Amino acid sequence: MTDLQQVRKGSTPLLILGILSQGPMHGYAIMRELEKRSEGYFNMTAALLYPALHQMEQDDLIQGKWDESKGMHRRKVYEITRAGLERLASGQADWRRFAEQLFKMLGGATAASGEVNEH
Amino acid sequence: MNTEKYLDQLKAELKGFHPEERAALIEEVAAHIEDGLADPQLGNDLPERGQKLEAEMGSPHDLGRGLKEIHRPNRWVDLLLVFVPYEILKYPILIILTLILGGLAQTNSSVFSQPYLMASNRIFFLLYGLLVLIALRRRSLDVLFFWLPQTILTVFALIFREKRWLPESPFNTNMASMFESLFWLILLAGMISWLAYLLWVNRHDVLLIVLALLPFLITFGNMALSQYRSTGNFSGGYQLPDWNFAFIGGFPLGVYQISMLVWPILFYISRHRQMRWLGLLLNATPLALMNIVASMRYPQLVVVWITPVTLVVIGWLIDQSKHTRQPSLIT
Repeated sequence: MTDLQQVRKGSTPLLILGILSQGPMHGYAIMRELEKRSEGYFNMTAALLYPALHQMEQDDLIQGKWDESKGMHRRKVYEITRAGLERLASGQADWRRFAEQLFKMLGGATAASGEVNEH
Repeated sequence: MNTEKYLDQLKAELKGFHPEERAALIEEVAAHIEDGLADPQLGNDLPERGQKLEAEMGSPHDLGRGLKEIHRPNRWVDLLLVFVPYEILKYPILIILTLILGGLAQTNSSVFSQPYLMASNRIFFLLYGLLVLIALRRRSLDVLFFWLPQTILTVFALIFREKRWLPESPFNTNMASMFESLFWLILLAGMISWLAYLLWVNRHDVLLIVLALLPFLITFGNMALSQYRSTGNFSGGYQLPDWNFAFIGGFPLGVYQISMLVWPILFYISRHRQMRWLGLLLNATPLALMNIVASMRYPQLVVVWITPVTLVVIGWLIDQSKHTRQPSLIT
C-alpha cells in the first residue's frame, strides 16, 4: 500500500462525518455526495461503506434512524452526533496542520489553507 | 444487476446473525439498490444503471465479511468454544487421565508421571485440533487464533518432553517410534508455517496478532522459570507465589484464576475494541506480575516476563495509531 493510499484509508470516517455534518443522509446518498464533492476522486463500494457506517454507529459518532417515507424499503438515515461533531472538528484541525506542514516541506504554496470547512 | 441474487448471496453470508438484525441489514442494502436503480445520475436506462451499480456494490462476500467483523454475531458461540474446552473440559480430562494412569506421582522433572504427560499431550492435541477445525468451518479467526497456537504448543511440549533426539530417551525403541517423531516434527513445522501465513494475511488486525503471539511468550516465560526452579532461589523458596485468597473444594481461587475467567469474557463478548484489548492485558498481566515478583533475583527472568505485557501494550499503541477497523477508500 502506498503512502497516499494509507493516508486515504485513515480519512474514511472523517469524510463520512464531513458529509453528515451537512445533514442526515442514507447510505446511497452519502456515496453520491462523496463522489460529487470530491469530483470523483474519492469513491468507495457499498461493501466498504456500510461496515464503516456501522462501526461509526457503534462508536457513537453517528446515529441511524429508519425512514419509512420513500420507496418499497425503509431507509436507514444517519445523523451526526455531538461526539461525531467533536471528532470532525479535531480531525479537521489535525488534517489542516498535517497538510500545511506537508506543503511547507514539499516547497509548495499553502494550498491546504481554507479548503476545509469549519463546523 | 440481479438484485434478488445479490441479496440472497448476502443473506447467506450473514448466517449467524439474529433474524431481525439480518433482515434489517438486508433491507438497508435493498434500499441502496432500489435508490441506485432509480437514480438518473447513474445512467439513462435501467440496464446501464444496473451495470454501474453492480460495480459500485462490491461483492456480497466482502460486504457480509465487513458487517460480520463489526457486529460479531457469533461472539457468544466463540466464547463457549474457547471457554468450555480451555477452562472447564480440561479438568475432567485431567482427572480421568489421573485415574487411568495414576498420573500424579511425582518424578524428578515434573509433578506428573511420564505416561500421564504423554497421554495428556496426545489427548489435548486431538481436542485442540478438533477446535481448530471447528474454527475453520465457522470461519472464526477469533477462535482459530486462540486454538492454533495452543495446538502448536501442545505438539511442541510433546516433542520436547519425549526428547527423542537423546539416545537415552525411553521412546527411541524402534523404527515406528522414529517415524512418529518425524510425523510430529513435520506437523509442527507445517502448523507454524500456517500460523505465520495467517498472521501475514491478517497483519492489519493487531488485536488478532497479539492474541496469537501471547501464548508463545507466556510458554517461553514458563520454560525459563522451570530452568531456574530447582535453585529454590525465588521469593517463596522453591514455591512460586499463587496469590490465592480462597480454596473452593480444594481448587484455588486467586488473582490468576479470576483473570483467566474474566479475560475471555472481555475479549470475546465485547464489541468495543478497547475492552477487547483490556481482555488481552488481563490475560498477560497477573501471571507476569506474579512471576516478576517471584524472580526478582534473576533480572533475565524479569525481562522474559515483562515481554508478554509489553507485547499487549505495543500492540494496543499500534492499533490506536492505525485505525485498523476502517476500510480503505481504494476500491
